Amino acid sequence: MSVAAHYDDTDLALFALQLLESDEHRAVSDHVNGCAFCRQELARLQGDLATCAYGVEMYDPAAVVRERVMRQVAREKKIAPVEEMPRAPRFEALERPAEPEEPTLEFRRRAPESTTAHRRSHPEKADRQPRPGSPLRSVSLWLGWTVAACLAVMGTRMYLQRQDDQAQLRTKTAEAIRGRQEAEGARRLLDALTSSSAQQVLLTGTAAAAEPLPEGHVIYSAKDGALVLLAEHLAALEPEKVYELWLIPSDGRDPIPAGAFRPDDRGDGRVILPPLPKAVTAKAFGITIEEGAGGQSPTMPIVLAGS
Amino acid sequence: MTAKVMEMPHASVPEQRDDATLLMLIRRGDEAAMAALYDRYVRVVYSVLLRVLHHSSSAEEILEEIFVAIWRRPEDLLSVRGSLGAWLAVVARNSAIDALRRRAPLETIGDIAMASPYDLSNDGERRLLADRTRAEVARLAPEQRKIFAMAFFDGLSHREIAEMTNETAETVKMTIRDAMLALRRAARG
Repeated sequence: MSVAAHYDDTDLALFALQLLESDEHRAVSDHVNGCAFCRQELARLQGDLATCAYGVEMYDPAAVVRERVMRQVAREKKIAPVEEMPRAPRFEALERPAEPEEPTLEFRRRAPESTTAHRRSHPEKADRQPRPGSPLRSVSLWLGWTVAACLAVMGTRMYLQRQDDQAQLRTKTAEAIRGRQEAEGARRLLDALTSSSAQQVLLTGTAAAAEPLPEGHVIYSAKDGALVLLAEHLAALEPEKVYELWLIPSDGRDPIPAGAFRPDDRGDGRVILPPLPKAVTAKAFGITIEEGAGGQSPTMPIVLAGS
Repeated sequence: MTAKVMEMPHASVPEQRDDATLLMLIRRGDEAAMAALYDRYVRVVYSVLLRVLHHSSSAEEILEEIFVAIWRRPEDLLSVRGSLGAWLAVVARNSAIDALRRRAPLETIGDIAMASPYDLSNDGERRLLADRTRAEVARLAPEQRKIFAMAFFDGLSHREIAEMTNETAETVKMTIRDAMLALRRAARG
């Protein structure tokens, strides 16, 4: 294993492949965490691993796997946890009148000579035999069943109403969570813009450019790592390139990438609250043009800078 | 159950939204966006898992874990610098090796960019990268190809490979590195 200031690419390749022993892995990990040079090389090697992966022969998994994943996704809706609903009584309520021992409409077909006792002792036989019954009794039975049916319908309606209420509750809860997340982002943004300790830096072009001159305004709050960049009059880029903002720490550390962006048709670009470490005092800011989605170290020249 | 795909185009309309947009939608609970992301990358994830594990059920199981994890914490991926497609391919490979070697996942470094010259959210570019990589792998010397496959697909350390091939550990390390650099050149065309 190399003990030089930087690990060589053979060691980093093994690290990327996760083939080092755990203590070696940890040592490289510790080094790379604080070394922009090795991070950059590691990024290239990770890209190489992805390249290798895309070279395998391609297969599709069975369609049922997609169904399983999407079923799980549906089960884990992004909402606040709501207590699990009791098993739906819907079908029980509707099925109960159809159970065999219930006196269904068969009594219409039954003759009067059968007895209740007989029917109880031989239910299956009783089902085939007529029951005694006056017109008043028939009406009573009909009435009873009508009431039972009404209760079943009402029960079903109440259950469905409860389901609707719970669905609405879930929706409202999810909206509330989203609202809280957005409010948190807005609060951080507002804090950054209004903080008395926030640095405000004007970035101007470092080379001759056509009018209007490109410029950028950075507001940076070091204590909570919040940053906003608003840039304008930026030149259009080739499709595979992006502008990338860099925070240059005052303690001499390597520049920290602070967000890649592409300008819109009018040349306006912005970076809002990029992921940044907290409590890093900035000496300056710079914007470079980078390949792809941005890099880990700036590529010269710096097109806009300010301190 | 596995269906081999011979570069068949997707029957459905290609998804146009980029990865970041899909992840943002997933963060808001959009199941259709999750389905779109799944459809975009499931083939490479599954193929890598299957190549390492040689077992479709195990590959499917890990595949489900990977995609469900995306659904649960898409915000973790919003900070992935570079290509999500590249990241997923590497995660699939590493997860499969962990399963193969029955070890706990190693600690990884957060916020490492995946330097890829391709827009892997684009179906055509994924195919182009795959074709170039396969061609370059075929050009590697047989011994180099074998050693690299032992490292990449079998998860064998350079010392283990050295023992198995009667090479020195240092030679194995250099061979692995050279193979990766060759693939890098191929990827850049």
